[in-house]
Formats: sequence, structure tokens, C-alpha cells
Amino acid sequence: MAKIYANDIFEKILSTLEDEKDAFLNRDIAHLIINKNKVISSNLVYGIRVEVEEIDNGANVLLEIEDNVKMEMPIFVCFAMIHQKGLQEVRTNVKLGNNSHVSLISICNFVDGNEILHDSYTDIELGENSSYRYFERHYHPNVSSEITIKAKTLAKVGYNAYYKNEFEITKGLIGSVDLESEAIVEDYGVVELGMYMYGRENDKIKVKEKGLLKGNYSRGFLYSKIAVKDQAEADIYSDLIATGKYAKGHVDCTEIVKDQGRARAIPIIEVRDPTSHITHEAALGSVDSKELQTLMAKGLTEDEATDIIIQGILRRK
Amino acid sequence: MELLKFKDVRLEKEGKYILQRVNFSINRGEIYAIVGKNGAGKSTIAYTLMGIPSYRDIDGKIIFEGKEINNLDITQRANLGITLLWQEPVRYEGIKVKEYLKLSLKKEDEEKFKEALELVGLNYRSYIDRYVDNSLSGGERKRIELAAIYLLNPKLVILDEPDSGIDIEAINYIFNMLNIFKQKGTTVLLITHSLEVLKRADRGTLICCGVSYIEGDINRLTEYFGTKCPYCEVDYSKILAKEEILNLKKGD
Ligand SMILES: Nc1ncnc2c1ncn2[C@@H]1O[C@H](COP(=O)(O)OP(=O)(O)O)[C@@H](O)[C@H]1O
Ligand SMILES: [Mg+2]
Repeated sequence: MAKIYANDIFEKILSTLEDEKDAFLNRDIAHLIINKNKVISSNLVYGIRVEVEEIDNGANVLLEIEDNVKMEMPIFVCFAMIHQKGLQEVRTNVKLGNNSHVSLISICNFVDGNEILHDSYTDIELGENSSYRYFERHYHPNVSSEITIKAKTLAKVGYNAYYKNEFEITKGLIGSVDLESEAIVEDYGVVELGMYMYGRENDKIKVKEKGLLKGNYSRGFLYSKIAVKDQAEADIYSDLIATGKYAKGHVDCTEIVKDQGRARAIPIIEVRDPTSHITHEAALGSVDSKELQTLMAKGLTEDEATDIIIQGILRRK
Repeated sequence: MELLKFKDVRLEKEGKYILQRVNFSINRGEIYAIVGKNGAGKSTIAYTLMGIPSYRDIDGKIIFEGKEINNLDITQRANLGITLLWQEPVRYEGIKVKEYLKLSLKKEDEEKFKEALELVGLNYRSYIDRYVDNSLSGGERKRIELAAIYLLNPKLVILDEPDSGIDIEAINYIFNMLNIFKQKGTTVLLITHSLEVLKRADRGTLICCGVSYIEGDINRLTEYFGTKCPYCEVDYSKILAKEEILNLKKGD
């Protein structure tokens, strides 16, 4: 049995994680940790193939899962920039075989970061009857720093496949984020794209989610929960387009605005066939004053109370 | 020993005085009732005392432990030891009972959480991981709030109609909590329009149309409860009679 190489960086990464710490120490759970462009730790399990090519400013990652693999536990991946600055470029290719089921939890750990540009591009292909659940959580510094996140994902969701992609930055200050997440869905396929973000101070959020329900009987659900306070800004574009027959979809945006925060939700829904049906719902509001007052009557400051309420609303269930 | 005093407190809203003249003082450790019909100004007293922003602009003085607190905000008043159980506590999306109780205690303590929940008749295992959101009934929500206040251990707790929205079986947990506050020496400002609840108080004042007009022990208040308010000529006995008739009708 391979031993975990417990160097400083590995320790440092683990010490800043909350829910995911144990997973990176569990030999039965697959993981991969990359700091800037170096693999710090990895643990592979049966049925998955991972290839990492270390490049100057990042890494190319190939993740392949054969046909008929059903993984009980998620795969954990971590991209970090401990003691690093500048560019981290990540290109990922995910290929999931037919009838295979995988979930992946990806941690981006930039807690002690400054002047970081994390630029990622991900290509995903899901085979027939497969399912792929992806969740990306960011840990950012609590002090204002220069962090820019650019991430683009394109997924091809095969016949009767299920694809879920969720993205969360609620811990620490975001910096600037520009996200694009797109999925093209074949017959009977399903896509769910979700965003959870909390912008503070001068954070800038730009999100584009797009679902193309190309296949007949395909389904799509795009949702975003975005909060902005102080001077933070958010622009959320959610496009859900059905070109197939009997497609169904829903777009749901919740935005909370406090102080001088500014948020815009721009949902676009479109159906090209009368048998398809897409709905949309948007709620834009502020933090409820009675919720605030109730917590303040327990001795919390308005700022502390605001954070607790917003973190609750942004909580993934 | 006096803990709290309202001295000629007035509050104007939209061109009319919703509190015209409120005077009362509460001693440390007692259960003090504010009694009056709907619309009398009871919740307004609770909000002015807690320092809710739109109820801060008052005339007169609110004195707590000998110091005027008119200019303090909610957090500052809470830090002095004042807290409020709202008539209808709000719900929080995505916050678990465990996390909610932790806000009061400032730390996680399973034993303490268990003790607090059981005091209000809620089973620890069934409730601790539930959300303090719309999935709770009004009564459950209120009991969780009481448990949170118990853990907060304030000097003065304002209970705004603690029996409203609570079903008959659960009401005893509320009364039980009143006894516990009493034992712990927590002072209670008990707002109510029910004689049944009033019986649990030591002293109190009657309030109508924003005026506190009779202060005294419970017997004295009970005696006057059904009589006319001298300030707005409201005939309490008629109002009570009307409610009774309505109840009879519902009963048919
Ligand atoms: N923010 C406000 N603006 C205007 N009138 C108010 C406001 N709050 C309360 N009132 C009025 O003041 C009176 C007393 O209200 P309240 O204190 O809630 O009564 P109670 O709690 O005794 O039923 C009512 O007539 C109510 O309509
Ligand atoms: Mg009231």
C-alpha cells in the first residue's frame, strides 16, 4: 500500500479544507492534488484512468472511465496555488463510458493566494446511460487579493445520460470570476447546472450557463443562487434552449442584494418545437430585516448576521 | 431592585402616537406582564425596547440597569442582556437547529442543546438536524426560539405573546419555561392578551391605545381587565363578550 506523502503543501491544503479533509486521507477514495503544475498527491482506484501532463503553468488532465463502471464514492480533485502566484492553466478532458456512473468533487484552494489567474477549460463527454455529477468548491482568502478565475466547461450529454455541474464560491472573497458552463443534451438526456456565489467588497461575478436541449425528451434545469453585498457586482446569464421535441426545462435565479451590491439576472428561454416546455422563475431581493434583527437580538452584529443568513440561503441541499 | 424603566415613552408613526405615554418599571427577577387587547401597542413596546430600527425614534427614556439605552442599537442592547421572542419568529433557509442554537451558546455543546430542546418538549434526535425553515410548524418554530433564548441566558427576555400559535399540549412547555426563567433569575417582560397567561406573572401593567394606565399585582390587573379604558372609552367587557359570542358560534 502506498503511503501518503505528507509534505508541507499537502498539510497546508488539508488544514484549510472543511468538509472534504477526510476524503483526501482515505485510501478507498480516489484523489488527485495539483499545486500550480505539480502533482502533490494522488490515489487511484480501479476502473478509472488518470493521466496528468505537467506543463509550464499548469497541467493537462485526462480522466477516463471505462464502460460499466459504477463508482460508489466520489473522486476528489484539488487544484491549489500554495506558495505560488501567477497563472495556473488547467485543461481537462473527461470521457465517461456507456453505463458508467461517477461523481467528482473538485476543490480549488487559493486560500493564501494573491495575483492568481486560474484559467481552466474542461471538455466532457458522457456515454449512453451514464451519469456524471460534478461539484466544484472554491476556498479563497478572506482578505482582498487579486484572484481571477476563468473557467469554461463544455459537456456533451449522450443518450439517456445524466449530467450535473455545480459551482460554489461562498468561502472567502471571490476576486473576479468569469464562468461559462454549457451542455448539449441528446435524446432522453438530462442536464442540471447550478451556481452558488457570494460576492463581497469589490468582487466581480460573471456567469453564463447554457443548456441546449437538442434531443427529444431531453430535460434541463439551470439554477443560480447569487448574493452580493458591499460594492460587489454580478451578471448572470442563463440560457435554456430546446430544439428537440418533448423537451422540458426550468430556469431558476435567486439573487440577494445588500448595501451597494448590484446584480442582474438575464434568463433566456427558447423552444423551437411546440411539444417542448420551458419555464422560468427569478427572485431578486434583499436580506429580510426581521431575519437580521432576530440574530442581532442574540448579540450578532449586522455584518455577522448578514453572512449567516446569506450562507444559509446559498447552502446546497 | 429596578432593572428596566420606561419613562414617558411616546412614539409617533404616520402622524399618530401609537405609544402615547408608557410608564412602567420592572424589578430584577420578576415576571412582569404587559396586558392589553389587539392593537393596544404591546408589540410596539417590545420593538422600542429591543431597539428595532423603525422604532428607535422615541420621546421619553428607556433605562436599563440605571442607564439610558435610547441610543443603542439592537446588537448593543442584546450585549447588555436584552433579547426578544417575536410573536411570530422568522424562518431561516439553510440553517439547521444545531447551528441556530450554536449562535446563542457561541459553541457546540450536545448536552446543553439536548437540555434546551427537551425543556421545550422537542426530541433532540428528531430536531437537531432539521432546518429552522418553513418545514417547521409555527409552534415548533416558537419552541426552538425559546430553546435558543434559554441557551442565550439573557438578563431580560421580552416574550411577545408566547402562547400564540402554540397548541394546547405544548402550552405547558411555555409555562414551564417561565418557571425556569424565574428560577434562573432571568427577568421576563411577558406580553399577552390572555388572562390564563397573565396568571403566571408577578406584576404588570394594563395598556390600551398606547397608554399604560394601571400598574399593579395580578389581582389588581385581573380586577380591571374587564373594565373600560379611561383613555379611549373602550369597553373591555363588551369586547370580551363579543369574543365569547364568536367562540360560541364557532362551537356550533
Ligand atoms: N410601523 C407602524 N406604522 C404605523 N402604525 C403602526 C406601526 N406599527 C404598529 N402600528 C399601529 O400601532 C398600533 C399598535 O400596534 P401593536 O403594537 O402591534 O399592537 P399589539 O401588539 O398590542 O396588538 C396598531 O394600531 C398598529 O396598527
Ligand atoms: Mg402584538
